[in-house]
Amino acid sequence: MPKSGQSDETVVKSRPASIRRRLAIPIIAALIVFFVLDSIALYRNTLDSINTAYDRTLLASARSIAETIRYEKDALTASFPYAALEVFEADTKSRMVYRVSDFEGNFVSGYKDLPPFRGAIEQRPAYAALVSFYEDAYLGEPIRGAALLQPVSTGDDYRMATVQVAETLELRRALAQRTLINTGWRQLMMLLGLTAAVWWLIGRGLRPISALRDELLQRDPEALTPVSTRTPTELAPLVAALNEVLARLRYVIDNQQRFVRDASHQLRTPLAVLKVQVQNARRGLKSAPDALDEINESVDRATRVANQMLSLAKVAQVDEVQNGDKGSCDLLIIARDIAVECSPLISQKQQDFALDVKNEVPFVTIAQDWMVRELLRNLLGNAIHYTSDEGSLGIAIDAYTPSQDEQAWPQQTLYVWDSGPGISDKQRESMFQPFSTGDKVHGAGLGLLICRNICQSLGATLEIENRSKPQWFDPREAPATGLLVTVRFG
Amino acid sequence: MNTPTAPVEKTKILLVEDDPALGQALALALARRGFVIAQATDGVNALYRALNEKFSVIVLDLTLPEMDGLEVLAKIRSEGKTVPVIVLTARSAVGDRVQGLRAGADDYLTKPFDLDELEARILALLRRGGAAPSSASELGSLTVDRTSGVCYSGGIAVELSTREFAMLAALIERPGHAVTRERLWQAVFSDGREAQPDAIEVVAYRLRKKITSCGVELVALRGVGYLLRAKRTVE
Repeated sequence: MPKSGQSDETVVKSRPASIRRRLAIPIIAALIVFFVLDSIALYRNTLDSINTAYDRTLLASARSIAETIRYEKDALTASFPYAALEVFEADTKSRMVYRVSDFEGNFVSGYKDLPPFRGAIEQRPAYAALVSFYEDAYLGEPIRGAALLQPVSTGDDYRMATVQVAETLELRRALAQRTLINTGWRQLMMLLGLTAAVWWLIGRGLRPISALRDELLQRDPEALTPVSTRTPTELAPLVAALNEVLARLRYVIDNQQRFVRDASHQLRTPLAVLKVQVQNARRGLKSAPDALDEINESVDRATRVANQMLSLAKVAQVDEVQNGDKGSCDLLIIARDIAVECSPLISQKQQDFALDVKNEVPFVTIAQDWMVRELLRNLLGNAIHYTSDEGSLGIAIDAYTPSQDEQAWPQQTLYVWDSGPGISDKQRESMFQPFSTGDKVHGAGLGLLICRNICQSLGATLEIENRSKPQWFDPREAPATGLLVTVRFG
Repeated sequence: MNTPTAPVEKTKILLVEDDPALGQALALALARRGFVIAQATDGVNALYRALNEKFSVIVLDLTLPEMDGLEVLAKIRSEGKTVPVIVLTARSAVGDRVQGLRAGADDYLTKPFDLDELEARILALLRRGGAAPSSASELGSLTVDRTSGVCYSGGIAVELSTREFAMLAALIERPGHAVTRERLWQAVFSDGREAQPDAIEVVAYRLRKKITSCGVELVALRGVGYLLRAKRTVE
């Protein structure tokens, strides 16, 4: 309804920002993860490139050392001056060490603390030499080394001496880190740029929602016409749903408006009739007893209309207020009470009434007592009204337990039958329409609507049909014609 | 009215109704039928009079200024007063009925109601209290005199057994209105003697035969009970 517009407004306003955040946070998080992974990969690649470059130097120095290896008097010598290594040291930070081992791996010359190479020589080295590059530690410092196998002639044959040259890693790491920091800055800038772009783009993408919101807010609060703003395909289902809700609301409001219009007519008519009847009597157009009889009828009619309206309103109110709490009631007790209540009418029309029950299950059902009473009062009232004098009618109650399970709640069925004219197809179409009854004197034409609303509220089903096939409660002598109303309780 | 020690010759009714038009109309109608009417138009006044004067019946509207009718009723009962109360209300449906009867009302009528109906209910309550102005009821050519326990048809006594008379008396209280089997059972077999389940039907069958020529009909509402009505004259 229009009045709730104020509170809806705030909800609509906070929505776009929230969608933007929802979209932006995962996108930016994904970007950050990507940049971090990219930086790690980049660092590794850089380190590999640096290694390749500096490994060449290691190999060159190993070769220089290897060339000084001699085999004299059954022993290996290597006369490599320590200072000569300095040529190969790239800067003052990193330090180079070497070691020459004999055929059995025993130390020949160089730095004794450098651990001997234990690994295998690569089968397919990148260089034309029997060389392996490896990582190890020297005096607790990480190093990268080259192990070169150098063939040495012993006179009879060639045997392999091992030359190891190793370098501490400060330089290589410093280089890689510098590269990393450089690219890291660049990537951070890029990330900030992308974040801003994503934020802006999402905002732009959500603009149709704001446009839709603006249209909704600018609408006349009374207007229930469909929303016509052009929207992107993603919003189309939303707008379609909104339009459907509006259409339903329009239907409900139309119905309510028609009801109020009809209701005021229905309430005023008997009062107008009353007024005319009183005026006629005053002018002496009718004898006092006749006029008073007419007036009495008009009052009865107004009373029925008012009572029906109030029942309808009460059922609707209960539907809105109380959900679930239904209580329980005994159908047999209610049926007896209503029969007693209606007995003067039955007696007046000299009708043959019967209340039949089947099965010995207690007829207690989950339903609000007064609702079932109102339901039965309306149904029996109709049956009495539409059955001719001395005709037959009745109420029947049946209960059965749907499954073998004895714990299961028995299902109750309530029948109200009469031997009146039944219902035509044309009447059937409009039977739940308020004020549709062809008989203005009997009631306001709200009875079946009340019954249907009560059944809906109780979760019961209401069937209205002409009696055709025989039922267990049919009286033996009476022909099975008339109306049968069946109410099945959940 | 202010001499409670004086012997009560006529039945005194306290009518509590805040609408002046309805109050006056009811007072007029009931006074015509032989009751002495005292009126109160608000809850506080009604409670004061109910507690300080002696009435045979109180007719109490529920929607009252100053103090709600249900509250008045509850206070009357909490003071130990057993005076019969008929509640009148424009409030619809049964929720009020349950509430009203729990608060101690003896009977209940929804506005608008029939004056005859109100009178019948008042008489029924008076009879229950043993203070009926008249203990005879008439229908058709039948007259049922409860004090003597005799039934006449056109001045001639109809021979009825005690049980048949009890059933007739219960049914004639509200002609054309059904009385349930349970209530008839209580009325008819109040002597406490054992009876077959279909004994009510047997009594009804015999009663029907004896009164069929008295301008009344005993009608069964199968599964509910019986009602007594005046036979329709064939035109």
